[in-house]
Amino acid sequence: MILIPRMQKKVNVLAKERVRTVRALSERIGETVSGMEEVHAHDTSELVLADFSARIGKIYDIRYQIYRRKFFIKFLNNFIAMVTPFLFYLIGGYLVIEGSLTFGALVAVLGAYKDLSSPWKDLLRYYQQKEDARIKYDQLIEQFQPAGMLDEGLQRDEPEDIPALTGPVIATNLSVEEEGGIKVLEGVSFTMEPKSRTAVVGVGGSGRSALVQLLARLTNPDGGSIRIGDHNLKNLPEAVTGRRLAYVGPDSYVFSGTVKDNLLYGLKHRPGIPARYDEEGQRHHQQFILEAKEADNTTSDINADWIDYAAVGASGPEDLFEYIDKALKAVELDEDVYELGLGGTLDPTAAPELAERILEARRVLHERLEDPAYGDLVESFDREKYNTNMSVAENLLFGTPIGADFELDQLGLNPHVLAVLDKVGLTKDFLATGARLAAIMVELFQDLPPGHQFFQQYGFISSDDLPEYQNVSRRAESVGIDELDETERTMLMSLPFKLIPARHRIGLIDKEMQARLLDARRVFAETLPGGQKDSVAFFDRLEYNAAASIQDNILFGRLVYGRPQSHRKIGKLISEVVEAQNLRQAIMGVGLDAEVGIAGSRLSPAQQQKLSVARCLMKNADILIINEATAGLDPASQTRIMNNIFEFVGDRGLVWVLNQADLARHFDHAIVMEGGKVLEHGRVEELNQPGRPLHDLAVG
Amino acid sequence: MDYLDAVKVLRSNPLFSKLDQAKLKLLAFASEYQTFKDGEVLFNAGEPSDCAYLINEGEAIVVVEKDGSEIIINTLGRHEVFGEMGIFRNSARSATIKAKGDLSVMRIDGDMFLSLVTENPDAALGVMRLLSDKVADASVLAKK
Repeated sequence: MILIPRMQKKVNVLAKERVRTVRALSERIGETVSGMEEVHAHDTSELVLADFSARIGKIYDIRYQIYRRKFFIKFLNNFIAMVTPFLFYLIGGYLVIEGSLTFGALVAVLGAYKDLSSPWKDLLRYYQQKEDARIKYDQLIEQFQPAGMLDEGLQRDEPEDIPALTGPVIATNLSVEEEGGIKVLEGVSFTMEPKSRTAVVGVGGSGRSALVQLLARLTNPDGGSIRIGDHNLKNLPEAVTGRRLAYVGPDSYVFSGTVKDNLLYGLKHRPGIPARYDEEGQRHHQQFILEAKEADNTTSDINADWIDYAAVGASGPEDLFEYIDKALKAVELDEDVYELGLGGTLDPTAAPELAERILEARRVLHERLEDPAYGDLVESFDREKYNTNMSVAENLLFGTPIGADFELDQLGLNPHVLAVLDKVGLTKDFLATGARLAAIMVELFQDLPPGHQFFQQYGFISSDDLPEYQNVSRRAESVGIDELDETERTMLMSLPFKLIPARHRIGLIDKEMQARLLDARRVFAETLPGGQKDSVAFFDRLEYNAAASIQDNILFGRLVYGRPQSHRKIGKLISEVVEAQNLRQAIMGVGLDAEVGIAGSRLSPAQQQKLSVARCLMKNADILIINEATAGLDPASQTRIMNNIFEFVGDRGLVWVLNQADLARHFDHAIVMEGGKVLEHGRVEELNQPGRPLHDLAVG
Repeated sequence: MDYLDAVKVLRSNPLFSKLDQAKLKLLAFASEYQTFKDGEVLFNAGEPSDCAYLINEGEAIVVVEKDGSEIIINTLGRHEVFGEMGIFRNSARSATIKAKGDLSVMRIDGDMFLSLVTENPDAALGVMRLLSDKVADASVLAKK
């Protein structure tokens, strides 16, 4: 009787986990569909399949556990339900044999007859359900197998050796039709010399985009063929096209995960170095392989190291950064990644040596801050000094809150904080300051319309609360603070916490008050209840603060208000110190581990484009195909990045669909498209003559 | 500088001298008090105009770039207002302003400045006077 509720509880937990896992799977499916072009372009179908296999395996596992428990519960239930009549019949039967009961025999027979039919009914129901499920399954599978799908073999085959695609590209009589017979490309023929730089130009709808998608074998032509060297592109498996060609389109997909995951995405074709498991993990993994085989899913392990180091030119994880940095620099994303790293956090227990070096950087920075040129731009943290560029709340806490206990906005309501203020005799001063602050705010803001930006900007009192504060402030003036009720006192108490002397310039926190707040700071730390010791990471000159960003750890202070130059100057100084301490690579490492959000939403559109291009550069493909993938950048950076990519690609092939035709002058060859046909193609210096189409496009 | 001292500074300029005390207090509270060292840039030509400045202490120079070299076309002194033209015209900054020696200013938010002028006839008159003076100065400069 105790067993059933306990097992049901476990089943409920598992059911919740199942919903969570299924939801994650469906999110991942949606994401993969959105990023389908990348999967084909980078030959990562195996990675995607391994991911699905692992997720489905997990769901199977959960369901299996649920069913085992569910049916055991059912069994128990049935057993208990049946055992009573059984005993009843047994004893009844015995009595009948003894001849002392005849009516009992009748009941027993009737009862047995009734219960005998139940298993048959269950069996029938099972059969019906099975048939029903089979039909639904068949229908579902049909939906996923429309006509015109890429041959599965082309996606799954892993040839013995991957041939280089360095020969000349010969396109013959290519045609592509859209549904309804509209010709997107018609009779397109051209030749590209090996290792050349080719620009594809034309207005939108000229077929320029369809052409390079054929070239990347993301689509197959309806007629004609493309040959690269000895190979007909149509027959090459994705294991070749996805590795020897690199394609990046105008709206390339950025997958959720870290910057690094995305950057190395195009290198994850097959599992490389196997994952290491402990005994329990190994057992679980074996189970996974068994089930995956049974279900005809891939047995590739998603936890293995999938990175194709050889393709990058690296020997392993150790020297990978060098190549990452090079690709990031080419697309001018290195600075962004560095900034992401500065804003990121670090677990000093996981990386004690790095934390130590950051502390060294802090020390060096503070030495440099002694220079009069920086003299008044930063107000450092000093336990013995009141920091006028921080709020009263921050001064009291003198640390970074962890979790919700000491959230700065709510500090005025925290029992420990209020007790501390009481202990150092500040309660009355806080009330008085609150009352004066309320009076000033009411005077300043009473004529402003509700919702005016200042309410938000200065954050002391919202427009909704202003009338209430007006009343409290009036009452405080007429009857005195001591006569206020509990609610009114709480309202006033909470106000001074937000005051920043250097910013608000209202003058309410004078030197004397500051000294007593320092007292409160000390008492706060000393009397912090044991259970809340992990709720604050105190500022300590000699300790790394795990809750604060790397930048805040180096700065260990606040930029002062009213010095607009401080941001730029100190940013530059931090950069110099980081460089001098050889910390840049480590900080970029933290930046590479930053999450980019769903579909890269935490990055700007320009950063997303740059990341997509860098992802292609990492592959070192034989032909790099860029389809307007830098169109979202400003013209100046576009030109700079173009030159960087020229240098990066060296003597390998490059095909670039240009959104600005005048940039074609930087290329060897050009293909000019119009209305789905090649208008002309050849060497740029020949085509770029007055009166010729390329020249007209470039000028126009 | 306390915001009440800032009220006095604001009142010292004819543009704001006629405003009532409550408006001035709000303006003083909402404005930012900034300091610059010699040669530091307040804004560059071409940047969007999102604020105006009133000099509290020190001097600022107006610089334009011509043929790659910088020419100082004007020097602004104590209690002068600048940067307001860009706000009215909703255009980019026409020149660069730099500090000449130590400079302290009040930075007045552009939206705040506009609403002040549109809602107060006295301030509007002050602005007209200020702009007329600048036009007159410019024509004198042009004649030279």
